[in-house]
Amino acid sequence: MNKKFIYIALVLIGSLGVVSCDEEDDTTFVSPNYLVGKWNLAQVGTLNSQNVLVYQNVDNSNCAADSYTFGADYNFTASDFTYDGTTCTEDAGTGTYEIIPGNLVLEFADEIATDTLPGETRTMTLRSLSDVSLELINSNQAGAITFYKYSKGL
Amino acid sequence: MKATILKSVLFLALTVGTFVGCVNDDDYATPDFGCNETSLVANFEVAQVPASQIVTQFTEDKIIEAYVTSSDEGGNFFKSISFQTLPVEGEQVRGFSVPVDATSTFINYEPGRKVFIKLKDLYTDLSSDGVRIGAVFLNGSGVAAVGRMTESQMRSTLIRSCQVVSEDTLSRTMTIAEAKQTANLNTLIDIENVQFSDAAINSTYYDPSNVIGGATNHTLVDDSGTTVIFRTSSFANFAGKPVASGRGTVRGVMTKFNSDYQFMARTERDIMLTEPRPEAIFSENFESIGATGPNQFISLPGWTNVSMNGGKLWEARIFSGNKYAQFSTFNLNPAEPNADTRLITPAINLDSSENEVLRFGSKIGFANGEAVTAWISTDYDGSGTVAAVAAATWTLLPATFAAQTQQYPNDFTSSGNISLAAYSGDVYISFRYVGATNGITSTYQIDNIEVFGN
Repeated sequence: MNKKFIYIALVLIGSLGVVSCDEEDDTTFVSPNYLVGKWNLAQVGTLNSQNVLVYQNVDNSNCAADSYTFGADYNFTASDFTYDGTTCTEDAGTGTYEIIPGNLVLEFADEIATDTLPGETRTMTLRSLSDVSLELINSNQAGAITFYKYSKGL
Repeated sequence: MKATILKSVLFLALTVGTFVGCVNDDDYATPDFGCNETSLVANFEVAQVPASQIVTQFTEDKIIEAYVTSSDEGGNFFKSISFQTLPVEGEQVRGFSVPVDATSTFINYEPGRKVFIKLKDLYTDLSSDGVRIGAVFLNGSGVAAVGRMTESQMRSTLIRSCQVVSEDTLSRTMTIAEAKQTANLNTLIDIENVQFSDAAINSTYYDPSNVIGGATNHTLVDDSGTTVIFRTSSFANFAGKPVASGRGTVRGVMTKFNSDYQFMARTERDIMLTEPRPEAIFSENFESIGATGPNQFISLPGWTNVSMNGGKLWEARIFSGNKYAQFSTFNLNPAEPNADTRLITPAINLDSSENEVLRFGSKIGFANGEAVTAWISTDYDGSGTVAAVAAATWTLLPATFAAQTQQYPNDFTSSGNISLAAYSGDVYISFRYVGATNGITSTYQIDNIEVFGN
C-alpha cells in the first residue's frame, strides 16, 4: 500500500514537471539579414519578344562595378560609375532600405546624378537572395522590366 | 476500507475540479466575427490594366476592385484566383486571374467577395488571351511569365472588402457559343440546357484513362450540338464521382488553354443537371470502329458506304482519340473526275416519336469548295447497292456545314437542329460528297450524327 502512494506521488511530481508554468516562451528569433554587405552589379538582363530572359555581362574592366552597400542598420550606399574613355567618375547616393514581401524598397536621402531625387523611393522586386548572389527586377515608366544580377563584393 | 475512502475522495476532487475549473466568466455569446471595412477606394478600372504577351510591371499606385469567381474549395482550382467585374447593363464584364502560392484561399476570397487589388509593382501578362496579375516567374529555360505571388504578398495586395454579392449577381447566362469568347475568360457563367456527351456518361469526372495534364477533359453539349470542354482536375473532390447523366444548367468559370476554351466547375454543386436526359432515337459517333486510317472504309451494320461512279469510299479516321467519317477526292489514284460518294445511315424509324430533329458535326480542311450535302429518303431499301441508291428519292436537308478552312478547326461545327417533323416511318440520311480529283477536293469530316424526338 505504501508503495502505491509513492508511485502516485511520483506520477504527480513527474506530471508537474511536464505541465509546469514557465512563462519564458519568448525566445527571440533573429532572421539573418542576408542583404548586409556590398553587392557588385555583374549582369543585366532583359526579356526578348518570346519572354525569354537574356542576361549580358556588365563590362567592369574600366571602372569598379556599380554597387549597393547595405548596412545592418538599414542604411545603404549606392554607387554608380561612368567612364568617359579616360577617367572613371563615381556618383554615390545614400538612403535607407526596407524589405517588404517580395520587394526591396530604397529611399534615397540624396541624389545619384540624374537617376534619383532626394526622398525618392525605388521599389525593386527581390527575385532571389542568397549569401553570394542577389537578383533584382526594376521597370521603367512603361512597365518594361530589367533584371539585375549582383554578386557579393568585398 | 481505507482504499475506498481514498477512491471516493479522489473521485470527488476530480469531479469538482472538472466542473469548477478556472473559467473566469460564463459569457458564451457568439464570438464577434465583425468585418473591418477597408478604407481603400478603387481608382482604376480593370479594363485599363495593361496586359500584353510580354511580362510587364505595373508601376503606378493604382487600385482596382473585382469580385471573386473561382474557388479552391472543391480542389478543381488550385493556387489561382479568378476575378471579374460586376455585370452592369451596357458595360463589358472584365475577368482576370491572380496566381497565388496559397491554398484554401476560398476561406478569405470566396466567390462573390469584393476584393481590392493594389496593382503597384505587380506584373501583368496574357496567358492564352486571359489577363494575369501576379508576381514574376522564370521557368527552367529562362522564360518569364506572371506566376504565383507569395502568401504574404497576397495578403498585402489582395485586400478583401466586407462586401459579398450573391453568385447569381455575378453569373451571366449564355449559350456555349456565346460563352466561348476571350472577353468571358475568368468570369462566372451559367450554361443552360446542356448535358455531357455520350462518351462521358458511365465515366467519372476525372477519368484516369483520359488524362491531359493531370485533368480530364469531358464535353458538354447544348441543344444545337455545340460543345465545350469541361475540365476536372485529379485533385477535385468530385473527381471520382460518376458524370451526371441528366440535362440542365452548369455553372463555372471559363478558362482557356492555348486555343481550347475549358469550362471549369468549382464544386459538384455547380453541376445542376437535374432534368432527364433526352434519349436519342438514333446516334452514331463512329467510336465502335476498330481500324482507322487511309482506305479503312467505314463498314458499319446497316450503313451504306457507296461510290456512285468511282472506287474511293468514306474512311474511318481518328484524331485526338476521336473517330469520325472522312472523305476527300484529293490525290486519288485512279483519279475520280466525277466523284459522288454517299455515306447513308441505317433506317431510322420515326413512328414512335414526333417533332424529330437531326443534327451532326462537321469539320473541313484543305478547303477549295463545298462538296458535302445532307439528304433524306423514305423509299431507299437500304440494300447498299449503287442501283438502289440511284433508284431512291432523295430530298436535300437544310444543314449548316463548317466554314471552308485550310486548317481543321478544333471543334466540329454543329449542323443545327434540322427538323424531320414532316417525315414518318423509316428514313435514311445520306451524306453526299460531290467533287473531283482535278476539281473540288476539300476534306470533309462528319461525326456525332444524332436524331432526337419527343
